[in-house]
Amino acid sequence: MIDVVDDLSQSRDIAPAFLATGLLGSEDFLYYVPWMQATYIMAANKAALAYLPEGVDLNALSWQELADWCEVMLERTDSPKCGLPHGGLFHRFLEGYLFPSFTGGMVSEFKSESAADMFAWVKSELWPSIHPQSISYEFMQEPLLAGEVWVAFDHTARLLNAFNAEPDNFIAFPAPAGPAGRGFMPVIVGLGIPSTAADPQAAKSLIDYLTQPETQGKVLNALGFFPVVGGVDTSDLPVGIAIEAGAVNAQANAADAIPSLLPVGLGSRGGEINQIFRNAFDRIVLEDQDIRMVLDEEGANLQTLLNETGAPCWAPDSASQGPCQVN
Amino acid sequence: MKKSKKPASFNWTPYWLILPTLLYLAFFFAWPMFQALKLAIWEDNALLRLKDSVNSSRFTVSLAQGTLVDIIKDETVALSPEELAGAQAGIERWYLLEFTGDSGPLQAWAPESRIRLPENTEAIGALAPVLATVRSKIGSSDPLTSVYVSPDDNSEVISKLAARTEVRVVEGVGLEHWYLIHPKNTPNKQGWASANMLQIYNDQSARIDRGNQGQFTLKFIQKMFNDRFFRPALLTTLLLTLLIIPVQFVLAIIMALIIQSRIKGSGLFLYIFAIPLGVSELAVGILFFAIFTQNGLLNSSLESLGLIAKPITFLSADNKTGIIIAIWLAEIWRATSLVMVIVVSGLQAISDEILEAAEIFGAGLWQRVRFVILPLLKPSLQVALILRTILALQVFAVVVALSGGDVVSVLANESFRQYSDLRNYNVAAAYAGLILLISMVSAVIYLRTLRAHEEAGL
Repeated sequence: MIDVVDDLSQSRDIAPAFLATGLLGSEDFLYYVPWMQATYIMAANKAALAYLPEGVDLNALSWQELADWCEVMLERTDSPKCGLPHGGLFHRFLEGYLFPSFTGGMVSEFKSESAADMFAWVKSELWPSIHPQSISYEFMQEPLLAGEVWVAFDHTARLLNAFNAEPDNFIAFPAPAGPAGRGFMPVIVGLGIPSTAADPQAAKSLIDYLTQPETQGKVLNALGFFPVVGGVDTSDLPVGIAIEAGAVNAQANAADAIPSLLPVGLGSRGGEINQIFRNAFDRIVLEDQDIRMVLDEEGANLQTLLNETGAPCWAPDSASQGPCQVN
Repeated sequence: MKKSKKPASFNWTPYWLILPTLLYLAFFFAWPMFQALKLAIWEDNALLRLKDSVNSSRFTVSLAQGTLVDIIKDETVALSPEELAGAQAGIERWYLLEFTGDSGPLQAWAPESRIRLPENTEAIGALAPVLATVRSKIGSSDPLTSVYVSPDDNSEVISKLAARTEVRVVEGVGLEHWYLIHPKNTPNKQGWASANMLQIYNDQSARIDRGNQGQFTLKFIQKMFNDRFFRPALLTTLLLTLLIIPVQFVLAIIMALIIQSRIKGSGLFLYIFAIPLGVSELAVGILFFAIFTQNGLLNSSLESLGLIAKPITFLSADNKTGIIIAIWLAEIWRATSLVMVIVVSGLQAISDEILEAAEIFGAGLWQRVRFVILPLLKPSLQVALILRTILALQVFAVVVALSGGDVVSVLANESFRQYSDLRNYNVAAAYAGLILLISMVSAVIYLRTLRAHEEAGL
């Protein structure tokens, strides 16, 4: 893939930071060429701003302030106004946002005291003012547009319709910060060519096409995934994307930002780690089980998975020699 | 003449007929089923066999995948061009380069990953000298490529080349690294393993990344039992089976009696009752979802009749009972006709004389059903019971359509979740094996209990 990038770089400008992620920690083996990027942000109906506690800055929101805000809305409008996509990409909310914000880690701090405190807080302070239909929300754009919820967390591509349909009604802002910082999860979509590919040359041409600035502009327009190459024409963007872009930048450049990678190194078993995080949440918050017991049990499952796959730690956990350890 | 010869020639005809059946059973039934169930108890590549020396074919010990080991020493083997051509991953290739240094032409070795050969060059050992370029580096602090005095990155660096420098590749070698290892703290279990089976850390230790030998294991079955969704899924499946089957049998017998009643137009009912047989399971699930959802058919008709003021939420995460009732209704609607078809055929086999005789002796309708029809229907009911139980244990699409597969789950859905969402084929096979086991046990129970009654009754 280095050769492909070498050739592509003659005609376009691929962001080096995204390119470097394709090395997956190796010295000079490039596994993929970045294609597009996205992340998860917050969205709010402007009606919710009237209930925002005094003196709170949306761009520097903390989880406690968010919970207070949700509670105020619940009390004053008599219905829950905050929503989370529990039926959708909720595991990313746990892995990349809650855990890093409260514990500073994702895997290594899974069953730590700060994780237990975090779940206790979620259970008592946050979840009671979250809309109960959150259990089945997959894309938050629909309940936002329906007015069912006013404040929501989701993937940029799963909020885009709301911003596009009613740009004057919705604002985007960065995810809140916790005691350890502002955890957020940048997502990079990459393109690779298997070594056994029947026609690597054709694959190369496709990668060439997909990484052209014009194509990247189309992808941004239609999907809400942001470009990874320079020189994309942004003059003719749908309004929604412009709204999101502000929040995405503010989140990535926040002073307390903790970028957290998607789980890497688990091979085909990436789904299992998501299930473990979801299990921990569901058992503690929805099924009211003992926090310490759940964290110990699911932590043991997590450790088994890491041992079996040999996956070393990834950000925000510090690099490890050998399988990542749940402390 | 003919008669005397006949005993001498063996009659092969029935055996020729049996042969295709056996082949069919072996290839389309037993073999795939064995392969599928083997997944649940067999872990591929669980063990790595260590050799007693690099070139030997004798093995010392087997170590489990994932074992952490210490490296005692390593050895590098240069492969011949023939070995290289057939080699798989894990081979390190080095090229001898000729280039113009500061003080004239120089020769040095560089690893394959740093040199870009022209396209379509066979990247094997003995290649004719070709022109190549030095690859660029990504994300590294040192943009220059080091070239060495010998094909080993611990050897002396001769020079550093900039990206895209033109070089002439004059020779290539393929190297295979082997390590003498033993598990941490057990030095007596040692042996050699090749680099592509190991994950090597930089403190003279490594981890066995994959094995080359399978082994019997119960860990997938254990994992199934420990799965958070296992108990609820098992209980829901059994509960649904218990709720569905009795109602279906009562309904099916009534439907069959209506069809057999010989009232004018009763034959038409057969066609009406059989309609659900033609509708797919998923379609039924979606249909019933459309009925019970918040703004669905049921709520809107109740509303237009003025019976309720605002829609009732039948299907929500905190209303498991509602979802189970919806699944129950959908399954009854969908699969009762299957039982009915079997019962109708059983009823047709009961001869009119028997029924007439009962009537002559003064038996009323209920007495005829209870003492004549039901006992004679027993064989068909047995078949229907076995079929319906097996199908009830497999219920899947209706559940997914009505509950999303998360709130209310069944065994088949857990098998699917393991297979599709979690990509854990082994645990999925364990679930499938459990469904098979329950089906078999229930079939045996039906066969035994119903037969015993029959004999006692006679």
